[in-house]
Amino acid sequence: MLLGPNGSGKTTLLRLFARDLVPRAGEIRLCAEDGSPLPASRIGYATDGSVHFDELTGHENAHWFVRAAGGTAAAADALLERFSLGRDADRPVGDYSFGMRRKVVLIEALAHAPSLVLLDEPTVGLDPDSARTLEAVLDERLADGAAVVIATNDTRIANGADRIAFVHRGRIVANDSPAALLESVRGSTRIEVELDSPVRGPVTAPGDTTRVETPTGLHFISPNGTADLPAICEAIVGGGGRIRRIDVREPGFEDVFRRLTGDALEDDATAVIDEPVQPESRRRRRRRPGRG
Amino acid sequence: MTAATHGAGSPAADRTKRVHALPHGFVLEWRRSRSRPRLFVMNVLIPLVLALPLAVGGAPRQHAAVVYAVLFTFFGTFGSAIPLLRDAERGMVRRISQLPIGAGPLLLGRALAGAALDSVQLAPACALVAFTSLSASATAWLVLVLPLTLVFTGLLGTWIAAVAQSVAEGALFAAVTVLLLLHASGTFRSPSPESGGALIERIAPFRALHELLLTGRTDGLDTLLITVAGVMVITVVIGRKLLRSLARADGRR
Repeated sequence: MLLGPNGSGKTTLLRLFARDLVPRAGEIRLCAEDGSPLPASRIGYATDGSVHFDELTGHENAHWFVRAAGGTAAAADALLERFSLGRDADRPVGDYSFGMRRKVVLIEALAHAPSLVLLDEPTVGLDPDSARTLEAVLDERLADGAAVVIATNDTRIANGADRIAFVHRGRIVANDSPAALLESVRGSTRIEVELDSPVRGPVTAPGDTTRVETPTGLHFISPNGTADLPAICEAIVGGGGRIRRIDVREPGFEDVFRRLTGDALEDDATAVIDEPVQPESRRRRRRRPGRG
Repeated sequence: MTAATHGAGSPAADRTKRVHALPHGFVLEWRRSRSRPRLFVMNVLIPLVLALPLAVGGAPRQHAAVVYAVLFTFFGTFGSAIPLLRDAERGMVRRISQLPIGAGPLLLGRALAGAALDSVQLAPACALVAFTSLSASATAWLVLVLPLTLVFTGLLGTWIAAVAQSVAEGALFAAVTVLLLLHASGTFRSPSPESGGALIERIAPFRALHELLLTGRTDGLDTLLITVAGVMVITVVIGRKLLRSLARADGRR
């Protein structure tokens, strides 16, 4: 699983794996278990887009792409059914919603049973049922010995990963199991207390708990989980404060990322990837970006 | 969701089949055309409407032959380059370029399908031209020369699209290239014998079509055959480069 904010380089890395880009330096070797080079026909790559031949039906699009990748129309049809697109498969894709188009992209990447599955933001646009279907299909691919690489900034799907690599400004800043990564932020439970009326006196945070004042209340970062919660509440009420709401948030991958980089996981649009790659045809000549 | 980065299966587990890219590209274009009946009808009617006043209005044959040659060659080149650039601009070509399929045969299959469709769409206009100004034997030759010319213009359109970076550029490049080739083929004026222009005319690909429409003769057919074969081979050889170049039109690096 590649986790990182927008613009951090996750898609670029997937495109390198998918051989859509050629690295400017170094090389990428994708190998089968016996060490032989992995043929392109055994890679399934779903981009973060939803581009199709709009005038063709879901069936026709899926069949064409799956056959081009070496799969069969029957396999494409089976996945269309599993993703609940069977009834709409004879309609032009141009009439599909964004979510339906995303499902067709995923089907086209998965139906030829690839050994290396590369998915860019696969859950974007998917309804909960389809997300579960995708999870089941990926589990089948894994059981079949395939490798699955997912690029996302959705931490909700990261828990089940074998490994998570955090990508930040074009670099991998951490690569470990989810448990090991979460271990690094263990003991930093965030207790967010929203107040109706401000505390008149000082509120002393118990033990090693850190206190942060916010415009709407107080935040505490506790090394003891929720054990400090009664003492915190007591101190606030004792100081004359009226509590409106308490949120307790266990540390997650956002906190790991923040600890590693000092940045938030949500957005990194200002990040500049220092042109690490170029399309193969650009190696010889470069063009101006402007177009007529 | 479970993700892993362990081994990627052994070749023995490879269940994928090798796909023949040429028929795959041909089928794609044929299906896409079938799903756009309005465009098909327009492509039949517009050449017919353009040819009609010349065919029935008694236009001098040398003028009519020029207009027909321009019409047919523009039809083939624009009909290949512009849709390809539109696909490229919306990221479709990039998606195709990521497929494990032979890029050259795929582009060739697409061009052959385009030539077949163009031939069908131009058939009514050609029938009108043949009925009003061609002999029976010239009409028979037109059935061979026109599709061959359209294969050439289809591949020419593919090459032009690969060089252009937008639909507007593609239209400009296509117009200039076809007009230059028509000029070289002696369509707009006859070069004096033994001149350099006459030499170029003998190797220009559109000469066969223009000569047939003007005189009913098949001069230049051998050149056309060799040119089409050569362009087909080159397209297959450099297909991956063409596809990658086309893919850049979507604005991504």
